[in-house]
Amino acid sequence: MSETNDDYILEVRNLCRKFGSRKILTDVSFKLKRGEILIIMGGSGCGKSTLLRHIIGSLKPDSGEIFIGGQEITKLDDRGMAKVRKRFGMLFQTGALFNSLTVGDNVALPILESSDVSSSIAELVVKLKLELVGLTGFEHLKPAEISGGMKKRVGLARALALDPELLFCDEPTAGLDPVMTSVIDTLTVDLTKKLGLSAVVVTHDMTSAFRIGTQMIMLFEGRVIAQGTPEEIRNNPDPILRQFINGDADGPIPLKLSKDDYLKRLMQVE
Amino acid sequence: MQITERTEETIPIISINGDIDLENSPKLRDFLKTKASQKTPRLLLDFAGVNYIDSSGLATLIEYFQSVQGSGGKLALASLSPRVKNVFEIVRLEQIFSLYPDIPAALAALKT
Amino acid sequence: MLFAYAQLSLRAFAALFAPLFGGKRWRLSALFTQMVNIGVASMPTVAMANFLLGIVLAIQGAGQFQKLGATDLVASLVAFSILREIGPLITAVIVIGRSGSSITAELGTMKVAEEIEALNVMGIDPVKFLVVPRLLAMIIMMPVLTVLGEGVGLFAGWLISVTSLHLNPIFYVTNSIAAVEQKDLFTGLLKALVFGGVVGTVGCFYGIQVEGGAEGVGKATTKSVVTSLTSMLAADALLTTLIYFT
Ligand SMILES: Nc1ncnc2c1ncn2[C@@H]1O[C@H](COP(=O)(O)OP(=O)(O)OP(=O)(O)O)[C@@H](O)[C@H]1O
Ligand SMILES: [Mg+2]
Repeated sequence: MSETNDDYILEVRNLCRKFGSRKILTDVSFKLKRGEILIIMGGSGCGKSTLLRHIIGSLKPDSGEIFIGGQEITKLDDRGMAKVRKRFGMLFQTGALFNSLTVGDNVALPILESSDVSSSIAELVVKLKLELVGLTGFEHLKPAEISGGMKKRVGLARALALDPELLFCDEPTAGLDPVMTSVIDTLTVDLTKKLGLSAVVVTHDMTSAFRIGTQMIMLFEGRVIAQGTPEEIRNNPDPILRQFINGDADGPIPLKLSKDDYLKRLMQVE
Repeated sequence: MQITERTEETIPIISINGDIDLENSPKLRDFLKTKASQKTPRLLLDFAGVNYIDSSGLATLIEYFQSVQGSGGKLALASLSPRVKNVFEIVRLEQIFSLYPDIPAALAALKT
Repeated sequence: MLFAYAQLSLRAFAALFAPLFGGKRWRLSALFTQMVNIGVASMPTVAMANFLLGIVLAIQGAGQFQKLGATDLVASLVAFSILREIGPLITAVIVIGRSGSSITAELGTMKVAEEIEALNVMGIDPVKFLVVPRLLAMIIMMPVLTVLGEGVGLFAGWLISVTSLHLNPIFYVTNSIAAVEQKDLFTGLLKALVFGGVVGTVGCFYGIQVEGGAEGVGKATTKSVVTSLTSMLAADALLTTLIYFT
């Protein structure tokens, strides 16, 4: 154990990771208090999903530490990791549903596999969870028969199946209509406020980010360039952050590469 | 989790002590199943000793509710902590189950 | 690579036998599905291949034995080679092409779609959940298919001998029975069992380690088939040698 304060459900310290020679994450550090929602923002390809993969233990960092509930996880073996994983749920960016199973069986799977509850109880839990994400009555469809946004919501229902303390969502509202986005946002906030769930949410949707976030971090080229409460982020003068939040085409985020180098590169003979 | 039973004014009061989670809910389920098969017309569940209930616990209660509904059985839940009550509210179950602040209130309701 | 394969195989077999020692029981419904996928679906092809080879064996044997004036030996040639070698071998070849490849493709697709990662994150061991039912189904169905194939092959040999080579139908059968020993039958079944293990582990291994999208799945499937074939033949040679010298 470490000196990590017990108020923090998650802490990442100086996380670094390279793929080959490309630095994807550099010195990433942040903390998440119990019952709060941390928003991770950043441009496409800046390393958000990769960061989540490290936190859920799918990838191991080159250096740095990750604490979940005070326990360091980067050096845990499979069995130790399995135990920690019981405490959290994860919604993957692509949903990652099991295509051979129905929607209902997808949600029931973690329940049936991790306990001895009977299938009739699991079925009822599935109904409760599907109702939460607005998919009551879709139990019997296969993933191939539902839309992308619906898959995301099934993924969320599955992530919530075991009533986790900590929820990771990789773009939960991408591909959802504004009303459904709002339903999912409200659900996330309700879960944290009423049940004390803590959540890490990756999102590009600034409206939803400011609506639900209690802490936010901005990743840029694998580094944390800003972090704080929504208020602090709103008032942060960092030009990159401003451009990202406002969604301006002009600014310091290097599309400038395309202006200067693009023609040169295009005309270069290999 | 411990389940103790006593009777007050002909109504069985079941006190649950501990967490109703994946590990324990099968035990509660077995208990409630016997109650259902005995056709207990009225049942009071005392939640004063429950700090935590998960979805499998809710499902267990729903299953009991379903099984006694046909025979007109009544179920009342008493003394839920705010957090436990929230678990019911998130899935809107407070609209189905009768939740009472304490045992006397629940008893009174069951007797009518 | 070889190390990773050995590691997966060890874990798979450990998980496979765990229920015998008080571990969590097998997932029977998953096992049943896989047995249908692997076994039942392969039956027609296995039967046909063995039927054709039974005919080929009988005719070629007849060609040789006629020169010696010993066409009666056709019966023992067919029986002996089908039970010991051809039956298990051709059955395995067909199962590799049909089911070994589809195991790799299926698991590979799951890997690419992050399904295997999702299993891990849910605390479900992909080896127990995905590999064990497939491996066990392979180990069960390979001998079953082999017995079926051998039966059909023997019948084909008999049929062609009786109809085209003018051998006495009853004499053929008694000849066959006299020619084979119990050992021949068991040799074939032992081979089938080992082939099942090889094809099951190789197929799963290549599936689980797929990287790089649909292209990766395609490449892994090819590799899986090639490796299964060569390993199966190597196992065959090894077993034949071992049995010959014991
Ligand atoms: N397994 C891998 N091997 C090599 N490079 C990888 C791998 N996974 C991700 N990357 C690289 O890491 C970078 C970050 O990828 P990541 O998926 O984390 O981005 P992201 O921030 O989630 O983007 P998006 O918003 O588009 O989902 C990308 O440049 C990607 O090419
Ligand atoms: Mg991503």
